[in-house]
This record gives sequence, C-alpha cells and structure tokens, in this order.
Amino acid sequence: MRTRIRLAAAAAVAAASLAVALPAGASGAAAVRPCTMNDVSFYFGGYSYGLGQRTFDLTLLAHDGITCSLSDTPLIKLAGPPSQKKKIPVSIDGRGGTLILRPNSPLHARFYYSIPDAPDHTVYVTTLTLSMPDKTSRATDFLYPGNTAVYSGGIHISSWTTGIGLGEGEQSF
Amino acid sequence: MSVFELRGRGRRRLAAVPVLAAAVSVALTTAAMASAGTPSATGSATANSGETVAAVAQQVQNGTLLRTHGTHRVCAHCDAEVVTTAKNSDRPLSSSQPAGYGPAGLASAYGLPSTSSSTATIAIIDAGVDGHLAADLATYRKEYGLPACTTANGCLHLENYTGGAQPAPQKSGEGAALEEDVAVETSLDVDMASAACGSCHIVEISVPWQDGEDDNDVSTGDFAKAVNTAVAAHASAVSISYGYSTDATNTRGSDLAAFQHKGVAITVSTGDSGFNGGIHQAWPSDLPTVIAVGGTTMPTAKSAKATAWYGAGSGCETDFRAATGQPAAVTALCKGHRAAADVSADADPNTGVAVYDTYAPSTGQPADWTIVGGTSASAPYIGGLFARAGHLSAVDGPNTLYAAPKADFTDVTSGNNEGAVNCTSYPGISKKLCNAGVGWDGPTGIGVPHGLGAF
Repeated sequence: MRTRIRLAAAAAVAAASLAVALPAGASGAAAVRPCTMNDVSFYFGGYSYGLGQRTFDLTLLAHDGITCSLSDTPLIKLAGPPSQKKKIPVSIDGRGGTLILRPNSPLHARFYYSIPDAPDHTVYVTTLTLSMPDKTSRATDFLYPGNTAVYSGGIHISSWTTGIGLGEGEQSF
Repeated sequence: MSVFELRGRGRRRLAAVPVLAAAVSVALTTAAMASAGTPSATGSATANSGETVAAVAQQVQNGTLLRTHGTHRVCAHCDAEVVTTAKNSDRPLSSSQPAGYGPAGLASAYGLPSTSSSTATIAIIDAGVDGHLAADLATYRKEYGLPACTTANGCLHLENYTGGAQPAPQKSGEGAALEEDVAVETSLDVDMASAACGSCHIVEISVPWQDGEDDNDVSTGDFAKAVNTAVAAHASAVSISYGYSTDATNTRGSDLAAFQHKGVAITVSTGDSGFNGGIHQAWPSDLPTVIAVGGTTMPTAKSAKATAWYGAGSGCETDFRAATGQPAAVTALCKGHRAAADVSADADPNTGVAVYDTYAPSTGQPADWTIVGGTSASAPYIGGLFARAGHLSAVDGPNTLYAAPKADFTDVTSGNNEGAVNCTSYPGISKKLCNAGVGWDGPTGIGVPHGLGAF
C-alpha cells in the first residue's frame, strides 16, 4: 500500500480544533452546523477476507432531517485489551477540508489491515471509537465482540468517500 | 476517412510558427500534414511491444489495436485509458514516434478549416503537478508543426486551483506515484486542446494530487474552485476529464454555482464505463451548465463512419430537469431529466490519439509517445473547438449546440455502450440512451463536429 499517513493524533488535533469553513452557499442556505454524535449513525459492512489482507467499510449516515459538517478525517481511535502494552498504529488518509453529511449523502471509509504472520508481529484490536468535531464519541466492537488479531503494522483507513459503503453481508472483490 | 499520422525521423516537418499574439494563424490542413509525415509502411522504429511503430499506426487506423493490446485506466477518477503493450499488461505502449491520431487526422475527420487564428484561452484542470508538462507539450506541438506554446511566450500558463503558482511536484511516495500516473491525463488534455486549436492559449490548473483518488466533497470542492480560477484567468473554455460521485452537496450551492458561467464553454467527460444508468451520472458531467462530452470510434477499415464507442458514458441525471437548452424531445428519453451526452468525438483507445508524456518521477519509465483513449480525449478537444471558433457570448452549457443546424454535426448512427448495464434495466428509459441512432443518442449526443459552425 502506498503510504500517505496522517496519524490519529494529528487527526485528533484537527478534529478538536476544527474551525468549520463552509463554502458560501450561492443559494443563501442556512449555515451547516458541525456534526455531533447524536446526528449520525455508523455501521460496518463489506468485509473481505484475503489471504494476507482484510478490509471492511465503515459507513456514516446523518439522521433524518440532519445536515452537518465534519473534517474529512474525523477522529478514529482503536483500542486493544487492557493487558496489551503494544500500541496499535493507525494511519488515516486525508488532508483537511470540510465534508457535508446529509441523509441522502452518506460517507464511507475503508479499513485495511494484514493478518499477523507470527505472535511477535501481532496486536489485538477490540474497540473502535469514532469522535465528532465537538468531541462527542461512540465506541463499538471492532468488527465483532472480542479480540481481532492484526499485523503489528496496524490499521490503514482510507479517506472518506461520498456514497454508501458496502453493507452487512455484502462483499467486495 | 483513412488519415493517420506517422512521422519517421528525418522526415521534413512543418516549420514551427512562433506564437505572436492575435496575429497568429495556424495552418493545419490534412494535405500539409501529410506532406510532412505520410504514413510509412517501412518505418523501422519499434514500440516497447516489439512491433514497429508503423504496424501500431496501422492498427490504430484499422481499429484493431486492442486485439493484441490492453488498456489501463490512468487514475481512479480520470477518464483516460492508456493503451498497454499487451493484453493483461499495465505497461503503457511506448515509442519514440507517434502512432495514434494527431491534429491533422482529427481535423480531417471533423471537417475543420485549415487555419486557426483564435488566441482564446483553453483551461485544463487536472490533479497534481506534471513536472514535464511544458517540455512535453513543446515536443507534441513541434512534432505536429503547431506553434510553440510556452510560459516564456505567454501562451502557456500554469496555475494552482486557488490562483497563483502551482506547488512543487511531489518528490516521493504516493504523491509522486499518483502524479506520474496522472501526467498521462494531463498531457492528453493539453495535447488535445492543442490539436483542436493550435493558436489558442492554454492555462493548466492543478488541483491537489489527492483529488486523483479521493471521491468526496473536498475533491469536488477543489474542482469547483478551479473552475472559478479558470474563469478569473479569462478562459473561454474549461475542460475537465474527471468524474466523481454525484451527491447532495456537489449538485447545489457553491459547487453548482461554480459551473454557471455564461459565455464560457465548460466541457466535461462522461466517463469510460459505458451506460451509467438512469439515475445519476458522474459529477460534474451531469450538471446542467456543462457540456457533457461522449465518445466515438473513428472510422476504420470495418466501418466507413464513426460509431459509438462502447465505453462512452451516457445516461440520465435525475437531480436536474434538463441541461441548459436541452430540447424536451431529448429529456423525454430520460423521463424528463438531464440526458447525457451532449456531443462527442474520438475516445476509443482502439482508434486512440497520440500523446507525449515523459514524466515518471516514481518508476523512471516514461511513456514517451503513447496512445490514449477515453472521454478524457474528447472533452478537451471539444473545449478547444469552442475556444477556436469563438462564438461564446450565448454559450450557457450545451444550449448553443442544441440550437445549431444539424449540418454542423455528423450524426453517429451505429454502435452502443451497453457493455456493463443495459437500458432495459431502467424501465421508462429510452434505448436511445445506450444505442446510437438517427438524431440524439446517449453515447454520442448530437453527434461529432462537422466544421466549427456549432462552436
């Protein structure tokens, strides 16, 4: 995979200090407010299980009647079991900029990771936390309850893409 | 029509004509071009496929190139397809001499006048920075006897999407790799603009390289800003050969307003995936104030007339009632919505165009002269014709094309683009969205140019 890396820490700073610069609407529409976690839902889908690499989609949906904005690299945190000392490297594509989330305009990102080839090269991931610009957040199991073994190189997350990602049971090829 | 260009080294070339403001007049007759480089059956130069360049050129002329070659999409959101050395190969077909269609062959196909005197500006918007753009453009134009177009003589301008100077090219990593890939697209665009109007000025506007692979509001917002920058630079025509997902953000507000510039022809490729369906088209080709440019296959040994290219994008955009000036008879084919394409030109890699690109900061393997197709070829060509003809005051999207006499186009009446999706999959959508026929059809729109009268 080509390397365009923005560390989660950098994204955290960006998200925390996000000054939403909305394009000047020619129609004079009301200003779009930054998304809070109560404005959105997210779900996983589109799992692919390659021999070495695995991927899945995370789709972000605005609730009915909600139009809100967020950084194109909203903060994503991954955590392992409490006993794990190793850090989980996370890289997120993105370069700053404003994304608008509407009920009819969802966004999705793709997660990539490799399966470990040896115990020494393994980190475990248990939870995923997604934070909004106002620092509200929601945590969920990473893929499914329990520990997911991941190559110690960590997780790469694509830039957020317009449109709905693959859903539960749908597979990418 | 059986014109193609192939120039052996040492053959006499047309004298380069310096660009000298408005007085410039460029002769581009087929006869003149032929005298400077007639097809050579004995050319000994070889392509990296092992074939002689003459043999490759013959395949282009016959429309048989893809029997033994493949194509490779230039970037995730580019509408350019570069021909490769072999099927299942990603390596661009490369040679030291051009084998694809050049300015004279295209001019002959479209019945263009022999001279061009317009110095109007054609804006080309592309992702990333091509570190060899000026030098490669100079080689292309010299090869075909077009006047030099350089930053020094004021013909070529390089701008960033927000105005001002372009950033330095990426030096390594993903950015350099992407910029190498996209350089084929950028070279194609400026070469086709040059082919359409050899006397026009060119402003090449760079959006961030990430826009070549990211599909979101940031990317589409960058293109919208770039269009405004092009208009501020007094462009008469603006060409975009990229496509993104249409969504609720980029079809309204400031992103939509950026494409509303009466008097400026904004040409956009319709994509290379054939029929796009009856709901959404790629942004920004779906916007009502742009000219959606489809694609054709040039006349070949098999067909004496141009045919619809199977990869040409077409379909309906349900977010809009119609393109500006689009007749009700056309929108009715989309149940009362914007129908694409509006017009077309050569886009088939099988009958692809010659492109010169040497920018390879990542692999170190330049394409040199290569052959490219896709609606990325047709969009800047049509944009160049608008700038060349200069009848722009009434242009508002495709309205003047639809108002032009039928004689200003050659109707394309055969071929289809139903490779992946069929019109019958969308109840109520006319088969004309996928199948070329008499009058307007999806893959080719009104048809291909016949002279400059419509522009």
